[in-house]
Amino acid sequence: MKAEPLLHATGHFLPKDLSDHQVSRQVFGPLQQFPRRVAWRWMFGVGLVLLLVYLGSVAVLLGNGVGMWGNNQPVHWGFGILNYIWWLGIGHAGTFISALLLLIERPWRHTLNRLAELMTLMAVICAALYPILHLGRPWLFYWTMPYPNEMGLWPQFKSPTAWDMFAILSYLTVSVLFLMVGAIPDFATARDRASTPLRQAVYGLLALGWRGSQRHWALWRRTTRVLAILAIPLVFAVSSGYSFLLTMGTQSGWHSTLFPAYFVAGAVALVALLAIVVRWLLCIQSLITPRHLDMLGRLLLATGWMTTYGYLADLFMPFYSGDAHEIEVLLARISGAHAWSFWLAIVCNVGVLQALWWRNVRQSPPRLALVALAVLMGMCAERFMLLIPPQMRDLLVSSWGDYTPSLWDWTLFIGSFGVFLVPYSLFLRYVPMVSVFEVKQALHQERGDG
Amino acid sequence: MHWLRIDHYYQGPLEAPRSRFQSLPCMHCEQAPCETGCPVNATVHSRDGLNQMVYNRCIGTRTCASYCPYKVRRFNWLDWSADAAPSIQAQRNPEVTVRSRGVMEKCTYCIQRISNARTDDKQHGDDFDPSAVVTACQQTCPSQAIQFGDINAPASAVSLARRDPRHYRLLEALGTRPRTSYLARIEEEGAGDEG
Amino acid sequence: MAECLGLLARFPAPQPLVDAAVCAWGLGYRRLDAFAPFAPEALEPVLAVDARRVGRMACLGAGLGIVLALVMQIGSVWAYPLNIGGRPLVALPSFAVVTFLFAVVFAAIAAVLTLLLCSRLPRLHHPLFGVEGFEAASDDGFFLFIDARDPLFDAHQTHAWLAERAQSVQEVAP
Repeated sequence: MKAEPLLHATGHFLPKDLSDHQVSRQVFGPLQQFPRRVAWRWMFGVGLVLLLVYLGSVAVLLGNGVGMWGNNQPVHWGFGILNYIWWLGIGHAGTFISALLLLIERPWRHTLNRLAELMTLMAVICAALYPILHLGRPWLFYWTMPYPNEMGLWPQFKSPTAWDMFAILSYLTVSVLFLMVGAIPDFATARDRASTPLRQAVYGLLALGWRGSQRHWALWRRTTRVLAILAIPLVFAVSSGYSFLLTMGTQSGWHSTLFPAYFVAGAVALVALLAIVVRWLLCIQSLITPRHLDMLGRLLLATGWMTTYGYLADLFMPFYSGDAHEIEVLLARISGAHAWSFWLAIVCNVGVLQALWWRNVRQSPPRLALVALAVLMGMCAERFMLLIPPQMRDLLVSSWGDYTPSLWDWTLFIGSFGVFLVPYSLFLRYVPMVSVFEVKQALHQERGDG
Repeated sequence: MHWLRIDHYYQGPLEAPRSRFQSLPCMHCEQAPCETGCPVNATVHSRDGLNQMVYNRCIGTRTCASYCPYKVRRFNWLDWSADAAPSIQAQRNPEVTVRSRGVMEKCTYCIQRISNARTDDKQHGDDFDPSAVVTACQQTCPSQAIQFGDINAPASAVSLARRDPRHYRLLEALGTRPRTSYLARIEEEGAGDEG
Repeated sequence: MAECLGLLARFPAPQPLVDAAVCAWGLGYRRLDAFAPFAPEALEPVLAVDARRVGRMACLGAGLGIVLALVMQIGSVWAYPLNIGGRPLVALPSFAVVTFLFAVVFAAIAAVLTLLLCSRLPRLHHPLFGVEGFEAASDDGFFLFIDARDPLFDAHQTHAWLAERAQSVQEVAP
């Protein structure tokens, strides 16, 4: 038998006697001496290749126009909007885990929040690029913003598309604030442990001169609580924002009031996946323990059931409404040309997910990673199923049509992982990936000496 | 680019179907869903009730087309006119601005003719008479199935046609209140055209 | 000794720091501050400033955001009235989303600004950074600082009092 698995019956899931210095060393060590350099280089390299694919696809797109995509009459919104909604959904999980668990004071949150918040930031950036690229004339995207211009013309504030612009900018702002304010004390630690003057200067600037004063701590604690309280409704405002984008139209099958909740639920998958990757890459298995993974697995299962409820409600509603076209659209979803997307979503988000009832799946990194990957794919299929088939079945039969994503749709989507991976792998090298001071506090509180 | 789409419907057995058609220009809805979708005010109502499309304001979100239940809007997915010489471009579009890539377009109710008619009337010191305007589709239709006029004037030909019991609007249940409307055709079994 | 800004005492763990701080507060020292890699909550009633102002400023910020958003949206239709799909010019339900988002963003910015202003951050340097070993305040060191401007401060007595309790006591040079 190997040594006792890393399961600790503590609130923070960490060994009770872990010392402050050990925690600092584990998290800040990788900033100076990265443990798995080869694996990191692979990750960064793959990210770079994908980023190049992305840039190439963007160049082709900007050079020729959105006609390079598979969109056409009647499917005006294809992969562009689909990926936008997918990436935003991914982003919500980070905010949600970080802010909600902070407010309900789960001490095990502290090893997960930083990586989740960084994920949110990158996911929101990946998402935010889509609506711009999706425009017919992307260079004029700033026309959706209120700015003084000689024509005296403002954005049209009754349009959900304009709301989206505000939603993304707000989400980006609040995510950055939440992340940066939350990381100030860790940047201070990084500054004090820095090995080179350059690092000391950069971390010092990021730490804003933080010196751990008790007065500052009190203000800091209040501020993070306030930001968390703001972040949670913001997540739902953002997801409602882009649900309105669908709902405000006349398209049948887009009017579900469940969409905002739908898009938030099930996004935990990427957090679970990243937690597994990060703990392995940084060798911090003793900080992100199997019990953390277990919790993420449970969260994934619970939110998965919320999504399942959404599917069931969406199956029921058209028949309850009795609206012939709603039923038509529903049948197109489950048995039409793109019925694979519906069934793939069901298999991944409902079927595979049930494996999480077993503890040895939740606590085993490779198995949990597989389930998380399946859910990510299922979420993508779900967005496809929600977005595309209704457009193919228009209200007038004469406008019915088909949709096939083109090569450039795929390259842009696959490439967007590069937009995510490249900065994220740099974060792994240069940002403390665990909220060290909060872990220390949790450790002291558990021991009763803090 | 169709600005006036002709929808074909078939009825009856596959070997010998009866063919039906319906012409679909922009409906110029009074409660146009497309207009609420546009974030940059590129499609708005004019004072006389047209659903206008402002090409040089359009940034191409395609929200309007997604929201249009009649799918009468057409998008410039690519640059269709880049290769044509400026003289050819002007020849193809003598009275309408050439639309660039990434811009939405649709039937305008021949706004250039309305505006010409209004200018003419003003120059002659007359009141503007909308029934004098003949739209391009109206002009070309050999059976004179298309009429254009002012539905606010109770005595105009379109207003009279709209009081006909055969009058109907397309997808009326959506509440878009389309200005383009149809008269059902009466024959052995049924179906018709536009007012 | 006139050059001294105050005394910095280091403690090995949070609990002795809390005890010493509470005791010093009890003795009448008012210009105290504690430095720690995290905030022992027991210290908050003794040393901390009133942090509730963060919440109050956030509420003010939210209010400002709501007003600005409504002024912007109503102002835009007032300055350039356009008939959009036959909807009323001032359509408050349509304005709700942006108004809410403005409220959240302005509240967040107000909260962060309050944090920075009240804690006099960012700043590039502070005399405390000159004290040897102070970098442990972000790792595993717990420090109590008594300001020389405190009326009860006496270089020798305070030093002795701190030395009884702490691991080490140092003077802070400006």
